[in-house]
Amino acid sequence: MSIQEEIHKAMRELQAKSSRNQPLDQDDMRLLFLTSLIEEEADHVEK
Amino acid sequence: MSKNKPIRMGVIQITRIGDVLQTYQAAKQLKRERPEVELTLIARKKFAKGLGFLLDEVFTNIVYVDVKDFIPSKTSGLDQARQRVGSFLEEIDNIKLDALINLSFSKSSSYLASLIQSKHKMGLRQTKNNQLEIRDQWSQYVYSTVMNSTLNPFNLVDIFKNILGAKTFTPEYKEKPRGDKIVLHPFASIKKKRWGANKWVDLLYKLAKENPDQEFFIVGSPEEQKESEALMESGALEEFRSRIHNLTGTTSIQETYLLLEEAKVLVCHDSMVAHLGAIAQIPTVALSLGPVRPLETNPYHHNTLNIVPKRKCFPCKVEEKCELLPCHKDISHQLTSQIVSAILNEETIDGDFFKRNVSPFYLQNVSVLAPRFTPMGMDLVDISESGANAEEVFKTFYKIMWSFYFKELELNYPLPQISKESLATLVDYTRGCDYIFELYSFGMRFSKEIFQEAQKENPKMDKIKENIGKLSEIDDLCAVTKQTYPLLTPIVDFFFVNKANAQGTNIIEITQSNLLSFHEGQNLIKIIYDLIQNVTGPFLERERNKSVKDKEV
Repeated sequence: MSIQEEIHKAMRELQAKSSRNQPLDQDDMRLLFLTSLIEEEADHVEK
Repeated sequence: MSKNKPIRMGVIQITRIGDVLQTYQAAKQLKRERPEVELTLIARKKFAKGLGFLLDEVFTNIVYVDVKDFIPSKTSGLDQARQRVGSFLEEIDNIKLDALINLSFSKSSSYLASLIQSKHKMGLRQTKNNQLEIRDQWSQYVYSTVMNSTLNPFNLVDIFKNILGAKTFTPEYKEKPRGDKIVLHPFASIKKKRWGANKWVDLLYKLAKENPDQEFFIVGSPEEQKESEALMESGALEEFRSRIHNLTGTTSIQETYLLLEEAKVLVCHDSMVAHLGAIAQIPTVALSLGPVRPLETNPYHHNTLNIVPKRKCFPCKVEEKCELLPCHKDISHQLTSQIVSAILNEETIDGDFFKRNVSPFYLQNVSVLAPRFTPMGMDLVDISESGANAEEVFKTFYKIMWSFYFKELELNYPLPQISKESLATLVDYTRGCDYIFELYSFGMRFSKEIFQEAQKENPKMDKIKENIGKLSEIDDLCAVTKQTYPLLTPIVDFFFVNKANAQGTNIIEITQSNLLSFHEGQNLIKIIYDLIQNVTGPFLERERNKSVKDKEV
């Protein structure tokens, strides 16, 4: 599995957790930090 | 805390290079006032690495964030990436921060702020329920107003200074000898913010022709090299080629900075080089176009002039498409060249200068703004005296209002000169103020009812729920009102964010916080109402007298 697929899978699990109103743990926060950082990196590309 | 123990403060700034430079300016002031504070900067590697020559003076530690450090290759796994994030966080936690301030206002920074350990935190962060939390008022202000509206009356450096706790709101200035060099940075991060090559060729031609003693230096990043080559290839510049030096992509940021320190004038758009120029204190002519908010990002120093289009759609939003770019035509190369030449000749540039030397044709669609510093920091004053529109008048109102709200400072401003069109708009806005005032009165009433019910021994949940429903209706009605009266958006949005971050752990405490928010909101809307009355009163009086005289005739 590529890291992209791993991230998608982990994000789906996180969404499911969120819909069950379960609080985020440190590991979830680290994943969300990493994914948002990648997203913003794309935004910094010259428009 | 013992006297000798340093205070360790972390600053997250993971947005672009210009923001890093503005953060540096604010942090430098804090460090000047509080040398015992040890600052740690957390910034993106690609935006901060080249600025080490400046950042090292102010920040004890610089921690770089780079996705590539977490995911170094395509074969890296997610677990390894998480571990690397863990080691990165450990590195920061080892500094043992007493306070962490997030100046970034981005999603990633909010998670980062939650993950880093610190006794005190300010700015955006995420709760364990994945909800955004902003506790301090200045950060609530940035989130509600700076991010969403064009009505922010503060420069970003001043906002950062306020969040960091600096006390002085004027930049330092030292006169120094400067050589016969003009620096041009004809680029910006997006097309809407920069003139096309032709306009720059026209400007360069006129400047080179009229200032034969000056050498010209075009600066920029390697990504801007192609564009600068296209500009240099123009046949119009043939006769001046020996005096025009294209340094785009060939110099480091530090080398560009050294050039700015010794040159006479910088001409640029809203860009990183503009902020670098402010730190080098070079006299600067900035051309604001497209989505640029002139005051917010004006280079933070005394010697700047900002040429700003007066059209209604300016400033636009980054995401709005615009093919014709009409504001690019508003600023003429002739006016820009005249201003640059006046700076070179050390002329006083004020209202008289424009009356004496500049054709009204070139000033028809622009204002020329110069900085003035008050106890709340930078203001931009229209030195071309072109008359304020309703939005500009409201910005002055907001400067007065927020200065009083955040710092209890009573700024003394002369009443703005308004046009007839602005007068009608302003008078109409007294009605908008009435609506918001009334809605906040209802907000106070329903909050009180919740508070009183919740304090009872056996509170009725139905009654509390009913009033919570009514409060939500008030939010909806405020949103409708701000659509009709968009210039009231900053107040409505600020108190919406303020209420959403109400302090307290139970319904009684949260309702008390909400009650206070509605009360403060009412006071602020009253200030705006009174300011409108003060500005429009003399004009209306004059109109009334005129009509009485006309009738008598």
